[in-house]
Amino acid sequence: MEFEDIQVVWNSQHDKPLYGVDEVGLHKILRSKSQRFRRLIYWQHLQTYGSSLLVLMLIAAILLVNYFGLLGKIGSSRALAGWEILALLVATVSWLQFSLSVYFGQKQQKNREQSDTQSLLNDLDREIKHTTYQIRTRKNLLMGFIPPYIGTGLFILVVFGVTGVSRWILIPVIPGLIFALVTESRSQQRLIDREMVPRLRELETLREKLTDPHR
Amino acid sequence: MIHAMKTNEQKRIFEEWLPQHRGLLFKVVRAYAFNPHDQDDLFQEIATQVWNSVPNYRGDSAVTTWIYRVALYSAMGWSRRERRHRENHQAIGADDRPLLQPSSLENPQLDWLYEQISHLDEIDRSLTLLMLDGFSYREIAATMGISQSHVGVKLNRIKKRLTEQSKKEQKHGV
Repeated sequence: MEFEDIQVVWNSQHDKPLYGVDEVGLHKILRSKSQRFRRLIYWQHLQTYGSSLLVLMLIAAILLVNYFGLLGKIGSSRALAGWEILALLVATVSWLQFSLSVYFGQKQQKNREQSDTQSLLNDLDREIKHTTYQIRTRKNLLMGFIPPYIGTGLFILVVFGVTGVSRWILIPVIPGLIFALVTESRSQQRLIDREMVPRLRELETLREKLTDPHR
Repeated sequence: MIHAMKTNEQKRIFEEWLPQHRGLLFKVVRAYAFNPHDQDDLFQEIATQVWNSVPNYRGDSAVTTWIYRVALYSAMGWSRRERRHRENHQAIGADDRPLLQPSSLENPQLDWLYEQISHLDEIDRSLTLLMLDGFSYREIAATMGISQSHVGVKLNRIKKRLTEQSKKEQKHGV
């Protein structure tokens, strides 16, 4: 090659970036990370529904045993008082309200996230919406957890009452419940700070890069 | 151009100039950095230097020449720092980012040319880029801060070296 030929070779280059984003590889990674994140959320929901079901079954069992007059056979000296039945009903409503609001919130969000195509950008948008929703619902979680904790408190109060355990036992139980409530909302906050916010930032940056007209 | 440029103005100029000169920056990046990680790093470094230097542009040379100068000096500085760093730290291996792929199938002759440029020292690399991009000896001398005659001598040597190397490789069927 003469120098003129070298010059032709040099002039033949375009001004495209040296490397582009490997969208197929990126899509795979996005899907695998999303699956991991959704599994984490799924286990949290399972815990919510599981604990709701457990408490509701126990309340139903106590009410049924009381209805059939069998409380004496399980160690109680008396039937449930009117206010105790009312307390158990309030507990039921609190737990139902909690678990149903989680359930319907998720269902609504799932409908919002539905998209026809499985492109990388669509998947990214869906994951951004999903993560934003998960962060938003957890931001006010302390308030959201109050009803089920009140329900649990009432349930414990009634159980201790009918089994004849001294009501003084409530003195450590109430701070214990408050401690559990604070711990739970703190652990959710940690989840937001360490998992969800960085994930959202990563997804948004990626979206920005992919839609950058100069890339 | 005034020194106390407002950030908005600096941003507007930067965002106008950078896309316009991307091709030029990619050439410099490719001549000084040889894997995707380093190329990304150097591109960021050059973009940062261009951003910082925008308020110093006085309009006494064409924007392209000025950006070329900033890019070349950034690349030479980056290259020296990287070399020192690599001498002090064992190479862990090239970091080929799994999410990056070559944007298009390259011309093997162009790959060869960049490889030859990479074998030159840092100053000669800059001189070669400027020469191949059609800058005059006077402009190259002003950009690199050396005399025109020195530029002439160096570029003749580089041209000779490139043509001899290409002929040698053609002879051996490469």
